[in-house]
Amino acid sequence: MSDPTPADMTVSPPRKSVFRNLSIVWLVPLLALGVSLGIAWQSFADRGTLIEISFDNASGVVSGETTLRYRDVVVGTVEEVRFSDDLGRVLVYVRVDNDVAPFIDGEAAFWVVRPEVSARGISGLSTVLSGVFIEGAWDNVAGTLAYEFQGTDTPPLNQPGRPGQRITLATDDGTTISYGSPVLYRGVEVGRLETPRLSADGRSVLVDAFIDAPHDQRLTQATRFWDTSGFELSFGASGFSVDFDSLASLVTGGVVFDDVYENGEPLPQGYVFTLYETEEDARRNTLVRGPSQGVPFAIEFSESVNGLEAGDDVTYQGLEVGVVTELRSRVIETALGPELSLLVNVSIDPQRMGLPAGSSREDTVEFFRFAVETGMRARLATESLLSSDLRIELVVLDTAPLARLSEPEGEPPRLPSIESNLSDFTATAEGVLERINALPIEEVMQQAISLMEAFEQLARNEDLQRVPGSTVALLDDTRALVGSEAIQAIPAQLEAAVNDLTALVAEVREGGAVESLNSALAQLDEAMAGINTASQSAPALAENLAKLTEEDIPAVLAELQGVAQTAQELELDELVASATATLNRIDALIAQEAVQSIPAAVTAAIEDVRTIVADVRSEGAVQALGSSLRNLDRAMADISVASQDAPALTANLREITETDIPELLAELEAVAQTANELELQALVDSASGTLSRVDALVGSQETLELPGTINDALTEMRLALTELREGGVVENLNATLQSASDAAGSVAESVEDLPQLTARLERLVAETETVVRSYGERSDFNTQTLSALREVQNAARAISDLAREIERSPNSLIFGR
Amino acid sequence: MANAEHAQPVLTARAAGLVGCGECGHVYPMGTEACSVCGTELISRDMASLQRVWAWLFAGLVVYVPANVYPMLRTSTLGRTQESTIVGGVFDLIHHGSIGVALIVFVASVVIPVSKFIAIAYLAMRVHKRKPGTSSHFHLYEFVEFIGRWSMIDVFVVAILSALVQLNFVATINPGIAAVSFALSVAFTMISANSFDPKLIWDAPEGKPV
Repeated sequence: MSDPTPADMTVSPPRKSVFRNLSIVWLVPLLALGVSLGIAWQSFADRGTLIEISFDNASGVVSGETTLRYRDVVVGTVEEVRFSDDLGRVLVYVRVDNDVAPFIDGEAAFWVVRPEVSARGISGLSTVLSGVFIEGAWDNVAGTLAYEFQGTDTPPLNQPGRPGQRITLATDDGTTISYGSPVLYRGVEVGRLETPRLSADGRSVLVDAFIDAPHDQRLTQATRFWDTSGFELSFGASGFSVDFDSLASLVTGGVVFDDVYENGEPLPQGYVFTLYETEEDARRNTLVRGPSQGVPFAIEFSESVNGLEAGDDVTYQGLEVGVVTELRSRVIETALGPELSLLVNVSIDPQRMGLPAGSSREDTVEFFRFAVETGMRARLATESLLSSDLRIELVVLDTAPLARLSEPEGEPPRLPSIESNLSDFTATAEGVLERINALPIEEVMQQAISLMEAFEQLARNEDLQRVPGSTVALLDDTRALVGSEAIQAIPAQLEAAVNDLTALVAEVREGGAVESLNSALAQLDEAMAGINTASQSAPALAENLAKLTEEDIPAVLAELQGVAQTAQELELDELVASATATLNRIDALIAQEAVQSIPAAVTAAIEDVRTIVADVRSEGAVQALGSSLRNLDRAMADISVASQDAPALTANLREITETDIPELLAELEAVAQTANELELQALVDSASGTLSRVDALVGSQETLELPGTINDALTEMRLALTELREGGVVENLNATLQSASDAAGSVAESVEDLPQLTARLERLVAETETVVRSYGERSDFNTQTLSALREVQNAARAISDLAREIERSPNSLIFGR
Repeated sequence: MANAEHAQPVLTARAAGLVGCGECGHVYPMGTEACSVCGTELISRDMASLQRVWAWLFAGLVVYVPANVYPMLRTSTLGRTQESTIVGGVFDLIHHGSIGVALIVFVASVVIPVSKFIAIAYLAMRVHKRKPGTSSHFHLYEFVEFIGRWSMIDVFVVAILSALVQLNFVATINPGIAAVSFALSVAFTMISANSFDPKLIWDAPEGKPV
């Protein structure tokens, strides 16, 4: 079996179609390609629109980083920053997102937002970290795409897409307005100013303003703008006032607007508002520039119109109805030759005159024709008394001479005028000023000055200053008297006398005359007791006096000093002099030898008594003493009676010092305090009288004679006693004792006068008290003084009120109240 | 070309009339349909692989373009956003003085992918032109297959940064389109390299006696 060997096959591989062999894997690169191309196309398509914005400078703008924002949303990125061909501007190329690109048409505005600190606040703070960005503004209406824009460094006022109206203001002075100054309407910011610029002819400053909707609807031809920059200081009858709108307007200036009349006409294209300096100006020019087109009239004046200017008011019964538009002179041909007359053109607003709105010129003229026939005239009037500014007043006078509204051809109708009464006003003003001038202001001032001087002199018065000294001297003298050795020796002497008497009495008792002496001694004892009581009272009295000198008198003196300081001179000198004289006299009285010799005399008398007693004792003629003792008894009884009175006197004195004098001093103090405020004339007079009376009393013959009498009595007694002693004869003893008895009687008599003196002193004190009390409260004097003072006070208040009134409104002097 | 010099043509399994199993390596005589061990279809030469190589290579190339054109990283710092491409990032790094890092990024993101494209294309071209390869070509193929994964460094860096740096306003990093493109490109070239049947390197031109 043959193994067939297959022939070698020539296997030529089939020619395979390229497409049949194509692997499905090829879809992958195709897909990848597709996707890649898709992405590429998408990114190309999304690349946005490239726009060109030119800036003066591009500080902070970085290509690839700085973004373009619209309402703070990023809508594009700066791609490139380069210069314009002439290097004059910086061109910033921004790739803007496609979805907003259609809105960026020719009106779009671009500006660079940077951090900014200004008077109106801080803005753009977010750019401190993130860097500046470009803000764009455009309206929401898609328009034709534009590619080139002018950018600004600051946000434009009228940003596209922001509703509102752009207006132009014209002013003479641009110093008070600046970029961004607010535009206010009734204090609310409704817009902003742009940068002021000069007009083409350089004569005025133009500034654009943008008023936000809906406030721009308020703008009509009746709208007036005025400057409210800074603050306003006003000083007038109502006082001093400072006024400014806002701090921002204070720094950057501001503009306010308002309608000056109702129903203003809509604004025509290109209307330029005038920016007035003050609200007053703005309102005053209502008629001059207002569209209501006042009806022109002319007024002829024969007197000077100095002080009248174009723009001044024309008023009717005080109401502003028109404005002066022009002043000119005119030549009138008269029979005597050409004559110059002044012609004032005015513009009258018919609506202000009460004519219905829309009245034609003819209606107005017709109205005035009728008014002139019923007496309406024009005349000059002053704006105010103190200014020379004039205005024109329309008045209706029944007494006016007949006149008619003349209507020359081609000229405004002419209102008749009458003489003004300007000169009368001047005369009145002069009269008022003269009266003011005639007021005796200088005399009043002189009197006031002299009054002041009088007070000063009084305070410096030497006499017044000397009073305390005199008082001190008086007190010193009194103290010296009280503390004199003689007086202090009295008790010792008395004791000695009593001892002697005791011895004598013992002898007498021994002699059997005890019974006679008993009563005498009892009397003496009583007398001693009385004296003792009196001397017990003495320290209290001294203490009282000391207390008074220590406490009350300084106070009184201080008060008196106050009184003296405030008192008027008048008769005070006299008073002081008389007081001094009184004090001196009292001083002299006390210092009188007679008074001072009293103690000595008493001592001597007691000495004599002692001697006599000793003599009597030594004589031993006790039996003869009977009648003598009886006499002595009587004398002693008298003395006793007198000394019984003495305690009463001292008690009185003490009472006076304890109760009355403090009271008196208190009264004096009160009086002094009152007197401090009162007129002193009467007081001084009264005080003077009182002191004179005291003076008279002290200086009276009786008082002066009192020590003399006592002295005489004592001398007499001494003489008698001496006689008794020298006689040395028992027979004479009777007479001697009789004499002693007489002497004692005299002493008793003298002593009997003491209560009278005391009573008189008491009366004096009472009188003084009454006088003093009469100045106390509720006294006539006081009431009268008070009422007088009240009247003075009322007068002062009236003057004060008047002064205040004048101060408050000085012009009331001129205008009346 | 030491191998080329001793000029001894390599004896391939195909020339020896054998076919090897691609999965388990068992050798069968030519014409055996399937591996008796693992059941895999036995193919001496996968001529279709070349198409896949080219297809994936093209896909990788296509995707590589946006990977370089578009930004890889989008960095936002304090409101400023910066986008950087691969090459731009390299230049930035050089500018900041990090030349070493720049070199690594450049090698990983540019040199390796590009050389991979070139290497794969070169090998595939040789197969097309039926030029018998040498062992050095085979080493080149092995190198390409090994190095391919390292190109993903860039993508990993981007992924990690994006995940970590999310500090809102202060700093934020987001991956750009290029990151995806680059990852795809690397993936495609790896698939391309894997698709290549290295046995084709050794084949002599058809019809020529070996």
